[in-house]
Parts: sequence; structure tokens; C-alpha cells
Amino acid sequence: MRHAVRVESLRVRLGGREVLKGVNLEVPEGSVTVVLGPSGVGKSTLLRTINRLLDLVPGARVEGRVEVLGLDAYAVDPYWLRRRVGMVFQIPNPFPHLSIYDNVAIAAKVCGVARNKHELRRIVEWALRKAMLWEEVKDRLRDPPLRLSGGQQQRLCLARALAMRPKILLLDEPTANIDVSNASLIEEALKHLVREEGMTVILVTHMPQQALRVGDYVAVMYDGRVVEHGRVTEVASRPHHPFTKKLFSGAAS
Amino acid sequence: MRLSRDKVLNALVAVLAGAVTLGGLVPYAAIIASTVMRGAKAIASVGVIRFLTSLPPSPGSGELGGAGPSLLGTVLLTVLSTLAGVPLAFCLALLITEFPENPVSRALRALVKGLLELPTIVAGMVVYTLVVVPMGTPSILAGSLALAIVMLPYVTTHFETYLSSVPRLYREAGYAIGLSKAGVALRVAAPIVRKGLLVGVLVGVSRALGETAPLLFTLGSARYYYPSSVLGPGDSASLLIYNFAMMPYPNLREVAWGAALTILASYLIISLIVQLCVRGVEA
Repeated sequence: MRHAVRVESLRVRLGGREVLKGVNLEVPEGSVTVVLGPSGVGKSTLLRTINRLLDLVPGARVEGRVEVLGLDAYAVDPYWLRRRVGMVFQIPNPFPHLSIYDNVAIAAKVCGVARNKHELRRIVEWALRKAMLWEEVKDRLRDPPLRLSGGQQQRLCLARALAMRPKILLLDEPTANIDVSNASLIEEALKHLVREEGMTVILVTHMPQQALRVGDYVAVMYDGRVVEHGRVTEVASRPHHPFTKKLFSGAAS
Repeated sequence: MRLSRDKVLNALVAVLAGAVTLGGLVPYAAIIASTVMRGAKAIASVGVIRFLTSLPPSPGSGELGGAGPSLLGTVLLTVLSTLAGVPLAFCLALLITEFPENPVSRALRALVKGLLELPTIVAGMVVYTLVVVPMGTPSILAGSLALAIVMLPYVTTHFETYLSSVPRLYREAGYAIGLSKAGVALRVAAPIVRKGLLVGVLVGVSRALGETAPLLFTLGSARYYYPSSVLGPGDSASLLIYNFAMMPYPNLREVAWGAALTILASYLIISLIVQLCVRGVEA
């Protein structure tokens, strides 16, 4: 089994506070790995080391190894790396100054995945379809994104990430701020992406139910460490760590 | 209905605040009213077109006239100084906001803050030494440079305020699709606050329209003939007002009032255009 991402004894300090205390994680290619844990446990920080968005945080110190697509993430050019890893954030953040169409197109342009206007159109439509948004916006592609509902905006952000044609997709609590029906559309979209496009998805969430719904693998985080890691079904049915037991007993009831 | 203590207090505060505000507005209202009334009279007595194009009258001749060369000078000075000052201010603001930790950009930030305190006449003296003396003549170009130096810190500070107000989540989104630092600044941050940036340009334009001191040693006072080149002396409406308002000749003071109204009106028209441009822009 090949790994899209490997993290080895990763330690991260943010302004003197140790947020990650030696994380080990292997993310198999072509599957959904859910990083599960309560808030403030370092999930988002872990995610941001994979595309080195953490570089933007002043005073962040990273030790250990992060391997993305077989390469040392901290040895390659961060811009090159980010163009190969898509990301969706907790708060929907479509660019307010660009139309719905351009929000998706800009990502494709930056990543150089379209050779001409015609190809660009095809990629934008493909991305919007994969994000389950095409039918709702196909007649209003020139509208500003802020006219969309929060859930639609989040699916637009998913489409933006997909237009990069990434091998790896990172999602940081993507459904925490949107309603249930939009959340299940996004979960649906993620499953399709893995099955049909062979994409590798890393989803951060604090909801064990979501891990059970979309995850192939789960990494349970507690206090800056991954305390349990394996197939979702196994971890949920035979949890070892007391924290995992507590999580999944709540989810089952 | 009983009047509670809170309601009485609220009413009292509202009345007081209203009175103070009105009181504070009185001087402004007086300035605008007198400029409009006396300026309109001066312009109307010669006609708008003639006022904007003809030469000023001879002192004490009792004739009326216009402020053509000075107004043209103000247009040239405003355009040239904005062309020089605004792009530079934009670059400075980008450096300061996008590299906040960098020692160079920290030094630049301190420099910009310092320049805000600079007496504007000093800008004129610097340009006099560096440009006017070597060129051997005051010029519209030198005046524009002095104005650009004066507007630079104001426009930069304005740009900086707006650029740094762009929420982090949009910047993160930009970086996440692989944009470079420059890409995030130019394709995400700047367009999001383009309305504020336009207001920043207006701040610069309004400085250029009204400043007088930086032009004293740099521009010359060619107000009785049209300039043939920006490399030669010119005049500005502000300098004309400064000179003519102190003259013992009523016909020249009339021209000064007319020029004052022209500047006021141009400022209002420009800001109206800016308002219209940015209307309907969301976020």
C-alpha cells in the first residue's frame, strides 16, 4: 500500500507552546483518512503542515518529517507543494471580488492545469459538478459568490480546490459552519472523489459520526498526539485508548 | 408614562452631543458658504468658461479676469504627482503589509510614519536643492515631485490600513491554491479592498489639489502666461490664492475667491465620481 502522506515524529511549537508532541501518521493513497479529536488538540495545525500553510504563522517551529507524495514537504518549494494539495477551510472563504466562475477558474489558472479557455471552462464545470454545485449555479456563473448560501459557498470552495486537480485534498472541519443537508452533500462529494478520481482525502473533524460516515481510516488525536490509528470500522468497534472509547460510545448512542 | 432616570440621562446626552456636533460644524459651514457665495460671484461676473481659461487681470486695473494658467497648472501638478506618488505608495504599502516582520519593511513603516509629521515646506526645500538648483529653474515637474513627497505617507498609510484589514481567511485561501506572496497581495488582498484603495488615491489627489507650501520654492509663479513645458515654471490655484488673497487689489482677490471655489468644486466632483465608481461593489 502506497502512502500519499507520511508524518514522522512531528513536533510543532506555536509561540512557545507545544501543539504537536510527536505525531506519527500514514495516509494511504486513494482513501479518506479522518483526523478526529476535540478542539484545540492540534488537528488543524497537523493539516497545515501538509501543505505548509503553517509557514504563514509567525513563530511556528516545525520538527520531524512530513512526506507528501514521496517528497520531503519541508525540502520542496512551498508554492509548488500547495499547488498539488487542495484545501477547504472551516469558514467558507470564496474570494468576494471574483464571480462564482472565476473563484474556480483562478485556482486552475494558478496551477496551470488548463492550456486554453476551452479547457478552463471544462475544468470549472467538472469541478463544480464534482462539488455537487453545478446544477445550482450553472445559470449564474457571473454572480458574486456572496449571494450563495453558506453551504453553497463551502461547496464552491471545494470546487475551487478541485480545479487545481490535486492528488490530495485537505479539509479542515468543512461542515462545522453549515447545515446538515449541505454537509451531507459535501460528504457525498468526498466519497465520489475517492472512488472515481482516486483522490486522497484528509478530513479533520470533531464529530465521530462523520468519521463513521465518510472515513476509510481514522486517526484519533488527543493532546497533540495521534493516540489511535486504523480502519474506521476497527477503531470504532474495538477502541483501545480510553479517549477513543468515550468518543465512539457517544457516537453509537 | 413615567420618565425613568435612564431616559432623562439619554436625552440629556443626546442633546449635548448634538449641540457639540453642530457647534463643531459651524466653522466648516462658514468656510463652505463664504467660498461658494463669493467664489460664485467672482466666476459669474466673467462667465465660467472665461474664468477657467483667461488670464488674471492686471493689478489695480479694476478689470476682472480668470485663473486659466494657474488652474491648468493645478491639473498638471495633480496628475503628475498622483502618477508618481500613488504607485510608489502602493508598493510601499504592499511591502509593509506583506512582510511585516522584515527589518527593511519595518524601517520603511517607521519612515512613512515620520514623513507624516514632516512640515510640507521641507519637502519643497528638499526638491529645491535636488531638482530646482540643478535644473536652474523652478518647474511644474519639480512642484509635482514635492507634492508627491507630501502625499506619499498619507496615501501609503491609507493603503496600508486597507490592505492589512483583509481577513486572514482570504489570504489563506490564496496561498492554499498556490499563489505567491505577490499573487496573494495583487490578486486577492488588493482587489478585495479596491474601494478603500480608490479612497486612498482620492486622499492623494485632494492633497495635491490644496497644498501650497511645497510649491513655494519649486513651482515658480507663471500665472500671467500658459506654461509651454512641464520642465518650466508654472503656477497652481493654491499659490494664486495665497498670493492674490494678500494683495491690496479687490479685482485680484475676486480671482482668488473664484479659484478657491473651483478647487472645492473639483474636489467634490472627483469624490462623487469615486463614490459612483465604487458603488455596487460588494465587500
